[in-house]
Amino acid sequence: MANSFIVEVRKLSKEFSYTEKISGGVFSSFKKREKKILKAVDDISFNVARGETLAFIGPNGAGKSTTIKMLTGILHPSEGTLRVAGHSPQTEREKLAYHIGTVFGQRSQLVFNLPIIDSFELFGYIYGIEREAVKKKSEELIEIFDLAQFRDQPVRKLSLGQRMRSEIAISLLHEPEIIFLDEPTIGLDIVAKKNLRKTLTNLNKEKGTTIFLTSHDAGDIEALCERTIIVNHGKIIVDRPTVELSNEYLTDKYLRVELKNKSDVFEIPECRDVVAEDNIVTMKVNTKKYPLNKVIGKILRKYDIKDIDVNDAPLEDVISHIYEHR
Amino acid sequence: MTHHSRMSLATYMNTDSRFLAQAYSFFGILKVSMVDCLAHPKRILSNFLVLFVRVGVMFALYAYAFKYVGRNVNGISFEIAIWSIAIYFIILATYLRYIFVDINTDVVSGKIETIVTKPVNYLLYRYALKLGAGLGDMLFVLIAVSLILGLTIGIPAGTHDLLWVLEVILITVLGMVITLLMYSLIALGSFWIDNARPFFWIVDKLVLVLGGSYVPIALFPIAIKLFAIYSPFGASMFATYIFNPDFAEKFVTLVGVQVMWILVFLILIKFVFGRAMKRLSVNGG
Amino acid sequence: MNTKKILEELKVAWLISKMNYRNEAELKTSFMVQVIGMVVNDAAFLFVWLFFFSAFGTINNWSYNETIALQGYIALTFGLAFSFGDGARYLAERVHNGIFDNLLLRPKNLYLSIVTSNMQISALGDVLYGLILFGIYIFVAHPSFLQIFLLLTMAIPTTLIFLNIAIICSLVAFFVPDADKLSKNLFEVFFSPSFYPSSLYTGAIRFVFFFIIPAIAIGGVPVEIVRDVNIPMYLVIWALGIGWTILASFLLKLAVKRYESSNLIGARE
Repeated sequence: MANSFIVEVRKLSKEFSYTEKISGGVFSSFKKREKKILKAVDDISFNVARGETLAFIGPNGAGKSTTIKMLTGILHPSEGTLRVAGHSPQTEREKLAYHIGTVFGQRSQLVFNLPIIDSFELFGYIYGIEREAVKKKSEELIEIFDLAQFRDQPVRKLSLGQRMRSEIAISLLHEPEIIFLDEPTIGLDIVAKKNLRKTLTNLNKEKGTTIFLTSHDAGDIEALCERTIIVNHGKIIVDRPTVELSNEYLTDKYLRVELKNKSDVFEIPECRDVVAEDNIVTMKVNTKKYPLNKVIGKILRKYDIKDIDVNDAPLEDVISHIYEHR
Repeated sequence: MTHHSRMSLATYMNTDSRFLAQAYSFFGILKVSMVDCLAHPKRILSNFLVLFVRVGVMFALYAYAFKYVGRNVNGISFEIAIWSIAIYFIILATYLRYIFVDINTDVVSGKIETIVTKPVNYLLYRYALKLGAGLGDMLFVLIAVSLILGLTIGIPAGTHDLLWVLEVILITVLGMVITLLMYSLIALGSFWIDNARPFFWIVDKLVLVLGGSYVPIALFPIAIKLFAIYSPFGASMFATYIFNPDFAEKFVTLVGVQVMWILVFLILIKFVFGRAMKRLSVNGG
Repeated sequence: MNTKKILEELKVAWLISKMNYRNEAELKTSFMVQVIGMVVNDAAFLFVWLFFFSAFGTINNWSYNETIALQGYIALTFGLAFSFGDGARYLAERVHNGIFDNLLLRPKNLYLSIVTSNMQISALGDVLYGLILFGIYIFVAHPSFLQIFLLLTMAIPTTLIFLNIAIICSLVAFFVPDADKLSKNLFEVFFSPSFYPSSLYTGAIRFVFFFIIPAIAIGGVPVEIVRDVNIPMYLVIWALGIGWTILASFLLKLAVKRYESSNLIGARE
């Protein structure tokens, strides 16, 4: 019976050693250089259940790319153990490869001169899949990811959005149990992002594919991931269901008020970051300090208003708040 | 929900054999690459154009030179010299040496990481892609140049039976293997040095000089000729020798030299690639 | 365009070149390796020709000495052209990748912008190699001062021919899609025949390789001019240099009119 955890990480650490470059002079390379150690990942532990959708995020240099590389077998840890889909990425990298899909937003896995349809065939050979099965699955993926209109075009001729869809589609050819996505929506327009997120969500629901996502786009996280792990300075600082993040970490509410009178000067001491443009005023309220109903009441009593909107802090702000304070 | 309907190799081959898996991947990738290459006639023609001019100029030069001296040189006739040079450039049309660029770019850009997460051996993947494209490029050039030379100067005298054809194929394939191994070996240097290009230039020029590019090996001074024959640079281009009068006599020696170099390079590559992968896994490349 | 503007444009081009150089020279080790590597790279051909001439001897007044001068000449002028002016060779790739626009947007002369947009350090190795070979040629062939003068001054028009042929070959990128490789191959077609003794080319072929695909104008014929002290042909070489510059500028103007940006494909490999 398959283990219910598809990823198991125990006390994982990764250290990099590097020598500092001394600049200047042709013979600088002969001078003695100091060796330095950087701990990119520092004693992290977590599990991921099968079928889960996880966002694994952090500021630049936090250690998330390093962790993903260890999980996919590219890097070996300095300490700790990990298992992915029942395999050790370090000693069974090739076997593991059949069970995982990887999409690195910044680096393409496709052959630039090959048309998309041929890329599917190529990957079929890489994963040792029967020709007929490859054909069938390719057509399915071409439809799901809407690749039909450029299936015969070489990858280098595609727009970024088209290329990303192709990358993800092809990474699913061998029906991996888990797919690692590193910045999959980078550079995509809003519509393309929305479509991609929807497709991935459906994939998770219908096939039970575990999604392990790294993204700087809060929209990706909100739309796709039930759970969020935040790393900073190599350590896990938050591990929570995504919906709970705002509740716990940033209790700001964002208010948008439409005044009837343009000339009104908006002054409510409980509100901060007040921005007024014509008769629209936006502001933030720390609801831990000031109960929201009291603040709204105050606004309604003081001003003649047309409309009032109350929203949670955007996930983006929540995350940057966490980055800054933890 | 447990995972279902895996489409992995086990489903297809029903075997755990890693060798079979890699072989299946290798030939499959080679096929896709070759078919794709043949689907771009514009590029093939454009490459042929360059080759035509190069061989054409050599043709004129050697016709002139042989006419001027009025005799065979070092036992080599004009026809043999031209075929020798033509074969060199036909093999060059495979662009196998640019495996260096492919690997170097993968390492420098970090793209190698995306390939390492696949179940196929990285080097086999690269070789298959290159060979497929190379064979596609070479096919047209081989037919076209052979026809043109066959119709203008004819085939040099000698026995060209089925055995000879098989010998030609073997010596050519072994030469290509040496080329792939040799250039990929220096490309792996990119894991340790910032700029491995100068090593590419050096090896490339050694092949140019000792491989019989602009001057057939048979025309070399004797000491250089021996060095060329026993070096991997010459060995990668032994196919240029196929029309020489003593080809049949020297065949076993030539193939022996090629096999020796292939073994040497295989051992070196296994060692260096292993260290390179270790470096990648420890330091991220 | 008046003289003052031309000089101003040339000054800017020179400043850009200097900046490119400083940029490249920052990485000193890489710089040295590329330059020396190219010298070694070029020297290989000397061996090939040595084998050839040891097998065939002097052919119709063209000996190994002339080959040394020829190789040196081509290396020197290639190096001069494409060390600071590699933008000329890189043009087709720019157009193919859709990054030609930023040159168009510059308030400077387009021709000079193109030429100075790229620098190739290894080509300095070609220059060094060329000069070394000149030194060897002077040592073995004992040319007169006039001959040396002719040799060195012809480097200017031949460098111009190199640059302009590279630009013209690149212009296919404006008319044909995916022409990056084609343009490189076209340049090869021009360049390849230049390495051979020019006495090889006679009659109609000579005409073609001198005026239409000026392969022998960049090396073979200048070497003959020096050997024979042929002043009328010396002037013809100068005329060719200027003529090709005018032609390339004109064709560039035409091509730019037809220009369309191609897609910039997201993350580059």
